[in-house]
Amino acid sequence: MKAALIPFTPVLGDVSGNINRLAEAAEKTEGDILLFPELAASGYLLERLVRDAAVSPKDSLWDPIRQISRTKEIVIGAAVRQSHCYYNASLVFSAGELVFLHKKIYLPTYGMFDEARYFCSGESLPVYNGVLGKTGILICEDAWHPALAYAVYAAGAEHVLVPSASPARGFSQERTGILSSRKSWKNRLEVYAESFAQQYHYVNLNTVEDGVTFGGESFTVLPGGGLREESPGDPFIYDIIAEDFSRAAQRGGPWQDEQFQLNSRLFNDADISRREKEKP
Amino acid sequence: MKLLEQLLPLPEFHIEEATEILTNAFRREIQKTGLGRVVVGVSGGIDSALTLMIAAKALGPQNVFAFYIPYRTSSPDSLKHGKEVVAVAGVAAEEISIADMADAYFAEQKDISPLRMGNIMARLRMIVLYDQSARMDALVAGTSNKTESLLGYSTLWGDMASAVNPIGDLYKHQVRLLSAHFGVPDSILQKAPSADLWEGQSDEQEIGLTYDLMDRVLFHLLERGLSVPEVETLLSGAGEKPETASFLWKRIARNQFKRKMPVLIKISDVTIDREFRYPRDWGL
Repeated sequence: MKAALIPFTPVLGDVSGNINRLAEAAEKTEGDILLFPELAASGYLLERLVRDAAVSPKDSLWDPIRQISRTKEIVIGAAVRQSHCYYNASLVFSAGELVFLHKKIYLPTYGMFDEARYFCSGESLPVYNGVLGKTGILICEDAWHPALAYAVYAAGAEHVLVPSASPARGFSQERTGILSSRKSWKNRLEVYAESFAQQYHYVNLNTVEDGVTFGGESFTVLPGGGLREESPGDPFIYDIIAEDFSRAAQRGGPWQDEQFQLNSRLFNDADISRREKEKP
Repeated sequence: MKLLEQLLPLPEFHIEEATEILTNAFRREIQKTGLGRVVVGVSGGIDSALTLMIAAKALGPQNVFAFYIPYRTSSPDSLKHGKEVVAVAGVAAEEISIADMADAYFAEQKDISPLRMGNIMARLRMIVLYDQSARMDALVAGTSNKTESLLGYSTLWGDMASAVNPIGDLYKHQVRLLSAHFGVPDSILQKAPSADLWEGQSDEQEIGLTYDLMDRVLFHLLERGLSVPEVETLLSGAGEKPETASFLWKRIARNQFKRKMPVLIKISDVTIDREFRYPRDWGL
């Protein structure tokens, strides 16, 4: 079983062209599952372009992807329109069909981000049964909310896909370098993989939009910890090894004594209404 | 370590990664327009020297055209230093004087102030660069750094005008660090920054503060999100004048207009840049 992370370079707003280029990349890249970044079909800094760049998941534009998905699972970030809303979504194609669609839940609207202005928020976080087994998707900012990482773990996901559009930035004194963004991602997903014995798969857009660099990083964190990565911009193709999970089991870790019922009760007991009022 | 460095520290600057980001992003921004070439106005100062070096590394020297655009009062050293960095960058260069153009206008303007003359020169240089960019099928590369853009130490539609500015998010001290890394000649690295609009002009004397102090204050106000009173307290602790913080903050506010497109009087439902929000790289 092989996975491929593909740091795609979209043309901003050119959805039909991008889908054709995604199909070309999907065709020529080996792998049983191919993961493309967040909003790969449209580009990230859309603003009002979302109106032109959003497509229905049923649109015939997806036909070439459906075709290629007969032989491999393909996960693509796209702006989709459903009913009266646009969503920042990940579409999973397999066996010639769209089999799963996840809508990003947390739409960052701080710092340089303005997603909630243009997108509606997803409200569920199911996992799906794919070639990797039980698989969850956390789109970029979703992975910055540990509650969602916990939710896909509690739902039984063994693999978590993290398609991302993460801008390279950060000079702050307390962090380690200009690309504090790069380091933060690895730290974060390593903690999840270490705590939950899941395998994480991360891929960023590989583009520059309005002067903002999306660095094309791709890496995987093995269950229980251990990071493998590719140089930024290049597709990362690697074997999924069942022994990585059995080794985590042999080694043992915090996942063994996870008490889901207890955690659920602790959440319920916490005075969340008070926290809601305290939000800045 | 000096108190100022302790209390208002500047971040560690990762030169290799900054170089990678700046050259890669500059190349992609230029190339995706379909042009692939730039013109750079080379003043003999450090900012345009760094832009020239980044452009040459990003696009290849054969795709970068340098222009010396002197006026009669420009220091002879400016041209000399400009030629030195052009030689290091390995790009083609041409000299186009704005003296006749400027003098034709100055002759008709009695009692024109040095400031007005300086602005005229900056805007004539812009005219030359934009025209040469059309001649060369190229884009104009910007040479304004973050410190001077924030403080408005620049001419609107003059030296601030460009298509893509690789150094616009770099404070002056970062421009210096990167310039040394890129091999900008020592003669440029060592000399006092100057707009060179008249003889003996110096940025630091004119603003009344050193770039080092300005960068420390700006960094803490912007990147670290400190308030003016908080920075004032730090400045006092370092033995500096606390009012420098409010002086710079007011200057940033007063020059906001230089960093924005003109004010449009709203009357429609979809006003440009208010509701009509589209990325600059639309379709690129």
